[in-house]
Amino acid sequence: MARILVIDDNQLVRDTLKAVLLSVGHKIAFAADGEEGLRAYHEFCPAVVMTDILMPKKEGIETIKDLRKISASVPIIAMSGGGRVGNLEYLEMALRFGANRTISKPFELEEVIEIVAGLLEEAVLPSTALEPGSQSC
Amino acid sequence: MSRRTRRSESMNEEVLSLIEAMHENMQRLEELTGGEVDAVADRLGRTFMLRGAQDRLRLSEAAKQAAILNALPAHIALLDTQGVIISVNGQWRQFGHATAVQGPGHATGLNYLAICDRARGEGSFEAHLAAKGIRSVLADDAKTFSVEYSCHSPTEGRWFLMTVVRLDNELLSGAVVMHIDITARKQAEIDLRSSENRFRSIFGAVSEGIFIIDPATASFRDVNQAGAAMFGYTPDELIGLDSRAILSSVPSDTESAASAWFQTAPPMGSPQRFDWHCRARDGRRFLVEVSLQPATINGSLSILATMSDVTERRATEEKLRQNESRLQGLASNLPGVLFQRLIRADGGCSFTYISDRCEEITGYTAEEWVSDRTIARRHIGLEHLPLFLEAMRQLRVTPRPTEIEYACTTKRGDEKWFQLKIQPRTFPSGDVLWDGLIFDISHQKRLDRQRVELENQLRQVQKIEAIGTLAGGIAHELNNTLVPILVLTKLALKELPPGSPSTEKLQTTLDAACRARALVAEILAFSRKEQPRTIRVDVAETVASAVRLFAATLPPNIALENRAARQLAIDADPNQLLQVLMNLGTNAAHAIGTREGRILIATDEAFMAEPAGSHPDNVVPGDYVRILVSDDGCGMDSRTVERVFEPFFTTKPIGDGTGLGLSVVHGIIKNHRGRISVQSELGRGTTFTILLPRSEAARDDGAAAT
Repeated sequence: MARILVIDDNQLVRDTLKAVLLSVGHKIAFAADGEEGLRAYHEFCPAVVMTDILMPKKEGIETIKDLRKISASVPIIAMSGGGRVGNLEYLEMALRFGANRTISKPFELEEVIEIVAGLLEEAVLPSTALEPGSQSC
Repeated sequence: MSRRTRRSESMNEEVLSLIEAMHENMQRLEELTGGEVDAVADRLGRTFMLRGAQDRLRLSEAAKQAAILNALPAHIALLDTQGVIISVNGQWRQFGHATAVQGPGHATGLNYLAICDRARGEGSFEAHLAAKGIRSVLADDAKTFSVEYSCHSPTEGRWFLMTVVRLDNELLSGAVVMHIDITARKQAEIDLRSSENRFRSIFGAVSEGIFIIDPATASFRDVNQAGAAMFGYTPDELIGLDSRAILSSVPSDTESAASAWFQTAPPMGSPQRFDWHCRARDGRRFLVEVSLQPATINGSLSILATMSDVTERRATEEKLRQNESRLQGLASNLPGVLFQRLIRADGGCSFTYISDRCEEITGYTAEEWVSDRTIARRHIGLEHLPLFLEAMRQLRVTPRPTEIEYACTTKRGDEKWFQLKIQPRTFPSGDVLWDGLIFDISHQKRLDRQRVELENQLRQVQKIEAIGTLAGGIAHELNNTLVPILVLTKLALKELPPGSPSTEKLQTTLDAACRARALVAEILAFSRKEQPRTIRVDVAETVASAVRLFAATLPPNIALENRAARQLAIDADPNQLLQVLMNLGTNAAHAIGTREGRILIATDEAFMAEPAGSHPDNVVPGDYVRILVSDDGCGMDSRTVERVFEPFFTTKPIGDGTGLGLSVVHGIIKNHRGRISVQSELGRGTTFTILLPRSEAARDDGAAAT
């Protein structure tokens, strides 16, 4: 049961992730672009952030960079719509700028659940301790 | 002439008796000699003519002389010192034509001078002249006088010569007037003169120069107006001149050359003709055509030279020759056949001209084209023949510029393309002349074909790029759209109670969504122009991976054979290489279907040499690794083979395969600087051959290939 922030400009994607994450008992907050996402981060203080790369106003890489300025440790998953074969550069860049994992759309149901669960598990370990309210999120 | 006899009374008796005695002696002598002797001689040799003989002699002499006088073809009259006609000869007597000069007939006793003085009108001038002449002779001022005069009869022209001579002897004193008919001589003179005039006129009038030359001295005996004028002289200036001075006036023609004229000309029979360079008095150069021949003129051998100024004519001839030569050169040199075909008003037709290159270009000689009417049919390709014949038929009906292209076979069997152009010309007679040109456009056609092929390839590439751009654009959106379908359907399935009727439906939906995802992925893969991430790959390893994957999926009726050579390495993206093999293998499996079949994957090394022509599929010469994927499935026809690498081209039923697989494969191989080709035989099988550049890194490093 954790708070997950989803930043994606596509309504369908947001609705899907909402249904999936709710089904495993997480709490979701949404943003449609990077700017909204940063605001939502401060308000919601999520345990995991999922962000799309190609977005209007503020795109994913920028958003990740800014998130990392705020929190060096919050797990970030970068998503890409380039399909299973591609947009590798984007995903690589996302990792370089601080994303922890990458996932390609369209992803499998299990993929999403597992990747989030995995990050949350890592977070409870001391090295990656996440204390709600300890950051200025 | 009356004989004067003297008889006088005073004659003495002596004389009278002597005369009588003489007569009696004479008679006696006559009797004694029997009248048979003309003359006697005494002992001293003194001859004495007997009277009879004397008389006879006198008679015969007189008669002879009279006979002579009368026979002469001259009218002779004897005038006394006063001019009175004493005696005339027979001719004078007979000439009945009364003329002023001659006077009426045989009028002895008339005064001839008076008659002449009285003459009026026709011939009066001559008559007075005659009178004057006679008078001067009578007066001893002149020994003789002659005058010629005409005296025409109504039917003929007649000329006479009147001559007067003094007669002064013991018997007579006066003059003898003689008229001789000189008509014949005069006529001859006139004829000669008129002939001479005629000759002169022609000589002077002809435009050719005529030169009559003395062969011995080389001087001009005669020159006509035209000839002299050619050189800027008058005939008089040239006559008598050494001809060599004029003829050798052009420096290049030496005097000896001019002299040669005279050595060679005389022996020849027919005229010797040649061109000769001349220089006129004013320095102007001109060219003449000379005709030389010997001629006997006025009894002596001369050289007759006729010259025509041919300066302009030769220049024109030269121009014509040059023009002819130029046209001939053009016709022979132009890369085509020039021809003319005459279509007569009566329907008959024939070639009037075919240029030299006919044989070279069409393979048939001009003679063959002319003589063999079936050549056109044999020469022109079957698919074009009807068109050609129709065009010719229309051309006959309505002459107008026509152009046709056709494929044909030359006599040697070469396939060529020709372009035929015909421009017809119609004549008032109804005949039509076709001016025609045949060009060999095989090269052009080849280039056109190549261009079309290249254009097709370009279009293909552009299509691919367009698709890529499109695909790239929508893939992102599609991927987003697929998210709920894939994910939520699965979620829904999980939430369903077991045995729910909705399960199957949702499962089908999910399958569809998966399919859609694969499709989008393929499209994206296809549209990507990523440079492969190459590493050194052992081909045999990749093949082994592919074989392992296949082993899991291939049905049992298909056998898979691996004949990959070891230690062949290429620089490649291993995933893409695997994708290629998987794709080809999948196609092979599909081709075999449910029958018994075999797929072979083999590799070896190959050296590619410099290619013969240029082709987009050519690879850089060098060492290559060759990969073969071969099956004994249903094979493909040639049309399919042509299109097999085309994006979206597929022989599979709708919904089964995107048709992108092989085009992706093609793209991958291209990106790896390789080449893929296919051979297939319908019903026998297919082989794909891939060439990839062999890895530069240590080839014989066996340890690297693990």
